[in-house]
Amino acid sequence: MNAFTDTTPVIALAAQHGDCQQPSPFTLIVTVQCRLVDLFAMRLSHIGNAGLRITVRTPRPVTATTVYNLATARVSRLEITDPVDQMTVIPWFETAKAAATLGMPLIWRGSLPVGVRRHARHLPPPSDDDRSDDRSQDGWRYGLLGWRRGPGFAEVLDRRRGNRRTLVDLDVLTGMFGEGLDRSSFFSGTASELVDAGLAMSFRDEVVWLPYRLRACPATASWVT
Amino acid sequence: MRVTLATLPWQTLHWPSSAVSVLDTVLSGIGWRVTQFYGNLVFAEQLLASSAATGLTPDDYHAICDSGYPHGVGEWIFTSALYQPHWRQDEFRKFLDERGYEHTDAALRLHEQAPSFVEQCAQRILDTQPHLVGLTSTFEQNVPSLAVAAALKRLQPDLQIVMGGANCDGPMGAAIHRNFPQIDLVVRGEGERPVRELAEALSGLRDMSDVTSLCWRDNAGVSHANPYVAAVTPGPQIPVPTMRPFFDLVEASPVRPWINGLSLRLETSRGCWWGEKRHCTFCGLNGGGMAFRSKPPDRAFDEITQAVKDFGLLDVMLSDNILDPTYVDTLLPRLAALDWDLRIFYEVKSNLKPTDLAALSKAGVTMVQPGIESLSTRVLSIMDKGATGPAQVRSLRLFREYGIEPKWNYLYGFPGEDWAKDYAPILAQMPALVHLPPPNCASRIYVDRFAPLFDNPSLGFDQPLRPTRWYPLIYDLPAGELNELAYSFEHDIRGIDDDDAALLDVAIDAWRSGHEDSRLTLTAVGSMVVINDTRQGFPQRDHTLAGEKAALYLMLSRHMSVPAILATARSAGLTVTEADIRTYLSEWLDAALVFEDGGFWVGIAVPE
Repeated sequence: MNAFTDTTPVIALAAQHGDCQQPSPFTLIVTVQCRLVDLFAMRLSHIGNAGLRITVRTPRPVTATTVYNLATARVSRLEITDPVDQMTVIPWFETAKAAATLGMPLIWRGSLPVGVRRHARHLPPPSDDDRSDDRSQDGWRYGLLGWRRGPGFAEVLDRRRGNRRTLVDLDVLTGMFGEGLDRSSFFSGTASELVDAGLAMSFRDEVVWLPYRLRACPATASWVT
Repeated sequence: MRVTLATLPWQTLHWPSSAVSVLDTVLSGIGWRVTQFYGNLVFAEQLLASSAATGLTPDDYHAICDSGYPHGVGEWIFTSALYQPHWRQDEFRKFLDERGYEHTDAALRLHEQAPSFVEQCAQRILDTQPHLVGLTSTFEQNVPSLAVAAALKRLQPDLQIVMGGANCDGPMGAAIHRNFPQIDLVVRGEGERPVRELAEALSGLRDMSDVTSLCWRDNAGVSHANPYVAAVTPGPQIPVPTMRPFFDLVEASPVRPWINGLSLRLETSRGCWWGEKRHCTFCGLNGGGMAFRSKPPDRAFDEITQAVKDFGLLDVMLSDNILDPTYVDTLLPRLAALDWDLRIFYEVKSNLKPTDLAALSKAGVTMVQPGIESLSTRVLSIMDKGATGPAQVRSLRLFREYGIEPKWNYLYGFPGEDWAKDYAPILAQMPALVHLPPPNCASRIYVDRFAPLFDNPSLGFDQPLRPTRWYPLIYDLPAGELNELAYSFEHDIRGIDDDDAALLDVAIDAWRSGHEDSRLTLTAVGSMVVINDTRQGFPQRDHTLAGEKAALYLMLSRHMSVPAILATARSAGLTVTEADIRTYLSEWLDAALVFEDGGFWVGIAVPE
């Protein structure tokens, strides 16, 4: 079990990078501006949460690396405070996918463009008070669309309709979407095939790989149940 | 020589047969031409093809696989082919009804399908033009194998048929051989050595009487059983399984869409190092092969990684009976370093340390079978498990903390157990454990062959054992022969009665239904411990502990007696008295934050 901790460095770091509230001795809410959130997350990942339940609030979506650093620091949840809109759709996918991968609760508001919603059914929905006109993510649950890294291949598990397993050449994917498959790419012939297969989404001039990584794959095989 | 190695229903459709894939390697290695025949897949394909007429699908195959063994359902289904259609059907149906079995209708329809499948299967095996057919039998594969063997003999009387597998170990194999003339040879125990020797004998290089543990017939058809020798294969010599034929077949099969969760089937060890020291009294799994042997870690690593590459599968079912503890520092870190998203199943001993669990988790072990069995210290002692109830609860807490799913059943029915002493106090505390991984179910133990409870009447099953009720409903054999053939036995009830067992069922059902929404998490903040309680059945709140109480609760990460807690506290510089400790423990027991049994205590909040 955890040993006793010193919360002072965590509170000091939070205060250095943003506005800090401490509603109880055990909880910390840190509001960090976009330009500082990456740095804050990196520094926090080195010292951890010291047992505090930390909520990090930031106006815009953050990178997958920052979500990873926040998860490493055992931050309790991440909140995007500005409504997600057309300008932030692509970075929102990166944040939402990373949060799903790492089990980081993500709070966000806003409304995804109509054409995008059906591609986001596998990602965490907006908070309840912001979704009166959009119930497309109501059926969200962990593991609806994910990928697992194998040697030279990505195994895609698609449970959005039925139960489909596909192997995709990992080198092709990393060439387009980066090592973590979390960057967007420009439209191309290969991207078009992925879009047709329902594994990628094009938005304006960019293409996003939709599945998030399933590091701890949900238990679904018959020998599991 | 051409040999066809066949596995029949009710081998799972989800992974290759270990016996077939390992013996393929052995026989191919000595120059035999091996064909692997997956009769289980053929049966599932037949069900799919005739689905419109019969209403059966491969899902019915899965259902029997998953639920049939305790009731002998899979075996009875094939009595229509081994003996005759509707074989003791009314009696068997009544038996299933009494057991509350839920797939009876499917079983009856599958029984109708079995004869045509057996004929088709025999013909397809003969199409491979074998000189020898090998049938492997484990759990519910006896009757299907015997039925197919009989059909093969009808079609080609001079064909040599050999049977092996766990159902043939020890006296069971000899009984099969004596009673079923369609089986020419029975290999008993691990196959590698006897199969090589048998190959020599079939080539005229050795006498049948000189093949280890073999059952064979002389020219007059008289059955002979060579002396049984536990010929265990050393770890480094356990063959690499040849899995390609299975995956080629399954990927091309029309039933592939019905197989969710296709997995690699590998082994990194055999035997049980714990069983060598103290044999759990109910366990009959290892037969004559208890001696623990593991593959060198580098070879285990190479086999796993090569199979993942070859077949594009990240799910790995390891058949080991227990994890080799040396792998924690050898195999597991290498797997973790790959950064592949593996999902590995291992059987483990429950007393793993947090560092062991961290290594398992990082390597991709997401599911284990840890042998929890009970939460009662006294019952665990009766079964010689080498663990206390609080130690098992600690294991459940650690599995939760490290994100590893433990599969376990709550076993009861041990001689000497007592409801008031061993169950009532545990059931009173079960609601507090709702956030920890629940058992699948509670099960009265059977007495399995090779288990100490079978071999040693002084352990409490002191009246004559009788084969589990389904054996005489299925086999047309005299009682004496059935006693030799059976693996699973019944006895007059020992331990708690069925009314009390029903109370245990209710408690476990409640645990299972409340589990998903329940959390009890612990964080140590500054000099305080905060326990956030959102367990079903408890008020949602934070418990805050400060000072020596916080320090003492953290010490309960390990299961300890009060004197041990006192000693640990004193060595940590705390000035608490034994009376203080007892007061705190009593408070925490009332608040459902600790578990106690047999004088040992353990904290149940899971570190965040």
